[in-house]
Amino acid sequence: MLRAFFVSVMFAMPGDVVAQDVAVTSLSGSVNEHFDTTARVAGSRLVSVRLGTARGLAFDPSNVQVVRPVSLAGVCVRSISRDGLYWMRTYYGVEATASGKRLLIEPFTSSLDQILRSYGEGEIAIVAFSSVDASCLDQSPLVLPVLVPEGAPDRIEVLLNSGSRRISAGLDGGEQVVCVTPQNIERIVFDSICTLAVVLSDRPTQRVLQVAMDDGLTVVREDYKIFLPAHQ
Amino acid sequence: MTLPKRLRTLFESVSSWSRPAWFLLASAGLTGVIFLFVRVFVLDITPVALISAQSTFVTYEVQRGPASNFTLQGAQLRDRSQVCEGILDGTGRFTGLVAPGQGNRVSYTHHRSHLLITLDIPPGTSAAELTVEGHAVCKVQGDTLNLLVPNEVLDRHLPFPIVGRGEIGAELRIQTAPVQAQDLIQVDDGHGGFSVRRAPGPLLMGATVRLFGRTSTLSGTGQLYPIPDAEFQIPRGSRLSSTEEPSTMVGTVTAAADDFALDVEVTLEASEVLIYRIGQRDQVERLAVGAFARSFSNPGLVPILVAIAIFGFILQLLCALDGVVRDKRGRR
Repeated sequence: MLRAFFVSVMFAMPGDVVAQDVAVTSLSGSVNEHFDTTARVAGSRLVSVRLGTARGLAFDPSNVQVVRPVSLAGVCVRSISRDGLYWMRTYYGVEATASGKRLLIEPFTSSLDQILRSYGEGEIAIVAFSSVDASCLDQSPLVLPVLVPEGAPDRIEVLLNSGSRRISAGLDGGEQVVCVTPQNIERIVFDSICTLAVVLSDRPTQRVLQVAMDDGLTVVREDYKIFLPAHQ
Repeated sequence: MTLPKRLRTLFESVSSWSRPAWFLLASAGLTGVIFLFVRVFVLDITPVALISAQSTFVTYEVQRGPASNFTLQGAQLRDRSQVCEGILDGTGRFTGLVAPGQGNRVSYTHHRSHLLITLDIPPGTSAAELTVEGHAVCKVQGDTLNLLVPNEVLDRHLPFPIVGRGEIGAELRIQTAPVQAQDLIQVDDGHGGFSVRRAPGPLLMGATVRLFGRTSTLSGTGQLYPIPDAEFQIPRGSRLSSTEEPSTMVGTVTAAADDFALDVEVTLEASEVLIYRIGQRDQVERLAVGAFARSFSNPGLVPILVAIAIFGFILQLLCALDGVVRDKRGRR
């Protein structure tokens, strides 16, 4: 509560450009999170969508921001650590009257603050999507990329768990996304890192990330709707 | 001067060093010499790892082109348009030599009805080539080629090569909903297609890593010897990977119709082996074997150790005899 107070005070400071641009989520109930001493076995193919480049800093659970469309009733946030030991899936409400093009996920954690801070920024995979359903089981949700605080939104990074399939991906505009298999790290949560340099337009856009997964026998295609903010 | 007298003189001269500093210096010097000796001849010599694994999936990056060539008999293709006209037989199957290009990635996946061999040809690497008797060499079109060897013809094949940086199995990971629920996959090759019974995976079913030491003497290295107790059981659901580029991983993989897993056998430098497995935070592990075990089973050191042991024994025997003789004289 104290942190929420400080956050609200900080964002209310006049002259702070970032503060004016950020709305804060509300939460009814508690954060649905867990940290295991052994790994979970459950998940989704789309593991993380980030706008910007992770800076190699420690992860800061008090400053997780996602892109915010104007009309957004609620947001589902799924998060998992690279080693699979931590996972979270929580529905947050968004005040209709709140303004701001960024949305601060608050509280991101209720009891795992110290554990999460021991991870690097790039080791916590987060995917957020708009939802009106608190169960977070939407069929074709609009993915809201996570923003790197104070980072330049010049690059999309998508983490995928393809099950060792060969990945090729692209945006609906024709831009090809470069996908690589991470080397020298464990591939428990994701096994493909797809990146693409983007230039944001003057108005918010909704793009489609088209992913083709080839296991040598058949090719399976999946589309993910991604919301990209306007260039600021 | 007789030998006992010489030994007595030596002993008396050593015992005359009354100052303990001399003993400390001598001990430190000797320890340093022995440590350097052990380091140069034992610790700095990387053991060789022999990996025997059962896995549904193996992949490697082609490092030595000619050594990675393999022959296929009666293989089906997922996309026949990728190969030159006329090199497939009347039933649309391929029988000939496959020569992956330098830098290509070769993956072997054993499904229940077929062995799938995938050649990934990244941009900038040379295309794989197919050679069939009586035809010109054919360069593969596209950036990936999928060859499917039916189970019933697997026994006509030699073991398939693994020469280069590779990975065996894939770590047990976060599972996702199945992309296709059915296990019978209809592969559309543009000519009526064919069915493949898919196997779940990829998964390492189990593996053993044995370490062999290398002898090292002043004249060089070269002999292998088994290090006792240096046998590692790799748990199911891990991934074995080689780190270095270029890698020393060399071996083969065989597939059998009645066995779900591929039989993989490779050797490489033990320092290259990485084990990835689900567990705690540090999930990448390396193999290590104690210097003690390596030292005492190193055949290169055996003559030296035997010489030291005989010397010590003779020295003690002579000193004891000398004592007996002196005792007799004294009594007289």
